[in-house]
Amino acid sequence: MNGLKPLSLADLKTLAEKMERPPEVAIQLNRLLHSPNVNAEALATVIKMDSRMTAQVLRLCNSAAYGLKREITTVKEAVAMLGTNALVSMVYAILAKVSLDKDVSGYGLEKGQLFRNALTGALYSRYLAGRMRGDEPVDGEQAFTGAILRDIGKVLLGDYVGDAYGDIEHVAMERQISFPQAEKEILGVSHLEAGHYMAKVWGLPDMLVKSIRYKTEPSAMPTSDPFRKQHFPVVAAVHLGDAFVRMNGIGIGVDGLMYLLDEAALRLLPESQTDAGMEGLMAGLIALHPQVDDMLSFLEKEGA
Amino acid sequence: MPKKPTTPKNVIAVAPGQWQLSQSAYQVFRAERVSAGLVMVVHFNGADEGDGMGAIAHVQLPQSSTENSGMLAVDTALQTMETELLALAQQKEIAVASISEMQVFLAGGAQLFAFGGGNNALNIGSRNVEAAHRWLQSHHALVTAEAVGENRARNVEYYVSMGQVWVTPLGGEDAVLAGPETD
Repeated sequence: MNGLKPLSLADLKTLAEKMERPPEVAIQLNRLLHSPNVNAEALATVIKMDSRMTAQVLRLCNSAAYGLKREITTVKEAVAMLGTNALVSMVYAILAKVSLDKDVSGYGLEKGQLFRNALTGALYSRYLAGRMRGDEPVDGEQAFTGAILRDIGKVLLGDYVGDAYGDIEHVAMERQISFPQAEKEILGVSHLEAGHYMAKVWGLPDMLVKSIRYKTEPSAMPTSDPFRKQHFPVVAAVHLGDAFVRMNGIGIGVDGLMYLLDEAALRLLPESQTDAGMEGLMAGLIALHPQVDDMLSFLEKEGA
Repeated sequence: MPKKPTTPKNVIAVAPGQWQLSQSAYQVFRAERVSAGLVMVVHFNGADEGDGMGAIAHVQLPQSSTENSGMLAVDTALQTMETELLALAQQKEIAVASISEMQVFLAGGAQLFAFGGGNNALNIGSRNVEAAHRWLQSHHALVTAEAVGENRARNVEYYVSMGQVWVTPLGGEDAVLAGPETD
C-alpha cells in the first residue's frame, strides 16, 4: 500500500469549495420542486429568471435531440409540450455539463468522457425505467435526473484515485468488492460518499442525493428511511442504467466493470432474466446513442 | 515484447456497431473502451508488408436474432468481414479461399463482478466471446490470439501493415496480439 493518508471531512469540504456552485436558477428550481405549489407557470417563471438558461432550453427543445414537430418559442410552451419533469431533466443536463465536462485523469477520463457517460447513463436509466415492472410505474424523467449527476464525486476524488489506483484495483480484484468499496478502504471515502456530500452542500433534491449515494447498491438504502419504498425504483433505474453504460463501455474509466449488480433492482427488470431479453435490451439501449450524440453536439455548440 | 507504435493522428475510429475494411496496408484502426462488447479483427498477411489486408468490427451482441441487431452481432459481423475480405483478395489477385486461411484476433468480452444470483443472461461479455469461437469453429477457423474477459475496458488498435493488434486495458499495460510470424 502506498501509505496515503485517508481523507477527512475537512479535506472533502476543501475539495467541495473548489467546485463551481450551480447557478441561482438551479437552486430556485430545487426549492420549487420541493414545494407543493409546483406547476408549469411557476416553473417557467423560475427558468425565465436566467436568460441564458431560457435560450438554451428553447434551443434544446427545438433541436433534433427532442424531435418535436413544431417550433417552441416560450418556456411555458416547452413545459406544456414536454411536461414539468422532462423540462427539469433538460435543465439538469445543461447544468451537469458545467460540473462534469472536465478532465478527470485519475479515473482515466479525458475531458468529455465523464459527461458522455453521465448523459448516456441518464438516457439509459429513463429507457429502463419504462421497462421496469413494480407496484407502480417508474418515472423516467426522475430516473434521468437522478442519473445525470451520479458520478459528481469522481470530479472531487479524481486526483486522489490517480495516486492510489494500484492499491484500489488490487483490493477490488482480490476480494471481488466493488471499486467504490475499495476506494473507501484505501482513501477513507468513496466517490459515492464524496458525491453525496457535494449534493448535500448544493442542496439537491432528496431523490438526486440518494441516486448519487446508492447508485451502485440501491438495496443499501436504510430500511428506516420513510421514503425508501417511493425512491427505491428510481434509484434502481439509475443503478441499472449505470451498469449497462459500463457494459457498453461508454465513457468508462479505470474503474471499468469492477462493480456488483443489485439483485433486488434487477428483479424489477424482467427482460434481464433471459438471454434473448437481455440482448433486446442491449440493442434498444444502443439505439439511443444517436440521441446522446445529438444532445452532446448541441450542448457543445451552445458552450453550455 | 515489441514496443507499441505511437498512435497516428489519422487513426480510424471504430465505434460499437461499426466495422471497417482496410483500404490500404498502412491504415490503423482504433476501438476505444471496449467493455462487454468484442472487437474482432480478421487479418491476411500479404507476400510483403504493403500487401496485408484485413477488417475490424466492434460488436455488442452474440447473435443477430435480435431485431435491428445488424452489425452489432458477432455472427453478422464475421460473415460480412469474411465475404468482403474474400472479394478484396480476388480484386488483388491473392489466392485465399476462406476465413480459415486468415488470422483472427479477439479483444473485449469483459464482465461485471458476479453477483449472488448468477444470472448468466447478464454475462453478455462471455457470451460474445463464446459466440465468436462457435462461429469460427463452424467455419473451420481458429482464433490466432485473444485478450478477453476480466473486468476492465480495453483500447484496441489494429495495424494492418504489421498484422498486429495492440490491446491496452484502462489502467493497465499494453500487450500485443500477433500471428506466429511476428516477434
